[in-house]
Amino acid sequence: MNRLYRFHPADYAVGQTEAFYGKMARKGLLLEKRGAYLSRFRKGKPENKVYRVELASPSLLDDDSRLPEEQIQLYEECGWKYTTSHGLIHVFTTEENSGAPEIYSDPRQQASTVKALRRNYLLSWLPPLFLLFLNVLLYASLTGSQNFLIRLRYFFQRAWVEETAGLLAYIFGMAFLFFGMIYAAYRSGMLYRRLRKGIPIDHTGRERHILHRIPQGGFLLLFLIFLAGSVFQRVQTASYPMPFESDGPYLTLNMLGIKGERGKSLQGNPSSVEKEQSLVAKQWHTFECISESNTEYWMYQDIYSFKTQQQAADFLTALMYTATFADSPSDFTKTEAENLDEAYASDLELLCRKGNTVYSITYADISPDNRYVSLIWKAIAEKY
Amino acid sequence: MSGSQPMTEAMFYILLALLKPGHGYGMMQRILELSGGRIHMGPGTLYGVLTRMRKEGLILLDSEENRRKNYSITEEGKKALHAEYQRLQKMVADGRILEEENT
Repeated sequence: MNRLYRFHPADYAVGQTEAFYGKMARKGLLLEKRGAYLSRFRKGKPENKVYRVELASPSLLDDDSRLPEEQIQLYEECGWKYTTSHGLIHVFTTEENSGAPEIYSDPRQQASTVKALRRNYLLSWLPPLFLLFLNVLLYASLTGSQNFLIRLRYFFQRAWVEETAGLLAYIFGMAFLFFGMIYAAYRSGMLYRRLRKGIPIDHTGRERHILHRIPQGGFLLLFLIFLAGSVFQRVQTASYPMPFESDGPYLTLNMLGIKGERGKSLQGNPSSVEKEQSLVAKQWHTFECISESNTEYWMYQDIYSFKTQQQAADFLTALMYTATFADSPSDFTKTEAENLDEAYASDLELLCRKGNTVYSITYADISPDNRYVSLIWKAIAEKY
Repeated sequence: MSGSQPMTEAMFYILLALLKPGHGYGMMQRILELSGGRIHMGPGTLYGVLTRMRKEGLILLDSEENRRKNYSITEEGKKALHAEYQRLQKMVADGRILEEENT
């Protein structure tokens, strides 16, 4: 292999980029091509080379970021060889002591070349913000516009309980991206202001900017840790056909006195159990279906076992807001159930808490006297 | 740009050099010559100022040969250059009290 790839400094770090390529050339790695994050180098003899970055500065509606041929020709006549470009960045090089004049003799003049770079960084906020806005709008229209912020809060609370590591990875991933965008906008703005004041670019790249790496690295590290945690949760999740006898806190239709052949749901899902554990709660998600003399009985259960009773009690409201059928807590009626700490019923959904365990059961009670509801309460109470 | 506003040094010397039409590299050498070796104008600075002055109508693209563009000064450019020269002369004249101060 006589080629090598290396991460290069960001587009806004003009001085560091120039110094970086020069340092590589002294090690015998000569710049061939610049990409978005990586630069390609050719292995050769160490050379003393000087690199300079020229920024293209097209107008807002012009997406042509090439340099005019006339400009390149002028630089080449002065001894600067056009090497490579990516986006707005164009790299020129010359031998050390070649006598080629410094490209910019007036930093104030150079400031105007930073305008497009700065604008791009400032505008890079728009697409993600627009997406976020669309997401919120979509969420609001799906959940009913009333109180959708409250719903959003409970949506996140549910995600927090079910996918703690995944949600944390999402939050830190976003923090990493947004911090990077803010920092890039700040640095390109600073570059512009300094040039305007007549302070030339530090071509030696000696100016170290490392403080921002602490939060940026921290966010990235936390993102990776929680991403691994989320993957771990997935890997640890056990999915299996529901056994005849319950092997967890979940109920079986058999316990409610419903006997018959285990069937499949209308979508063809067989009766199954999914057992997993987030950082906050152990969970069982089950589906069961029994056909008995032309009648189908089915039951979905989501069971969460928390570390404390308070956590369990707090989660009930989130379940009411995020239930599949019920709309909000007003659809649930508080019910008295023996040996349970709290119990609520809506048309198709039952919620209850026993100690630090919360049950959310979706179950169509077709009996005229709501017989199965009380049987469910009893069965849960007996589980403990 | 109106003729009465101060010019940057780069603009002044480029206009001065363009009293004789020329292309980019030649201009840089002419500027070095005109300034008695004082001004080593970078190609980036030269190119940036040329583009701006063309937009402002102070110079124009004269001809193009071998991918080399030749520029020359316009009437408006000449006016601006003379106005700037007079402004500088006036400044030098006003500054003479400094010499009296020294003696």
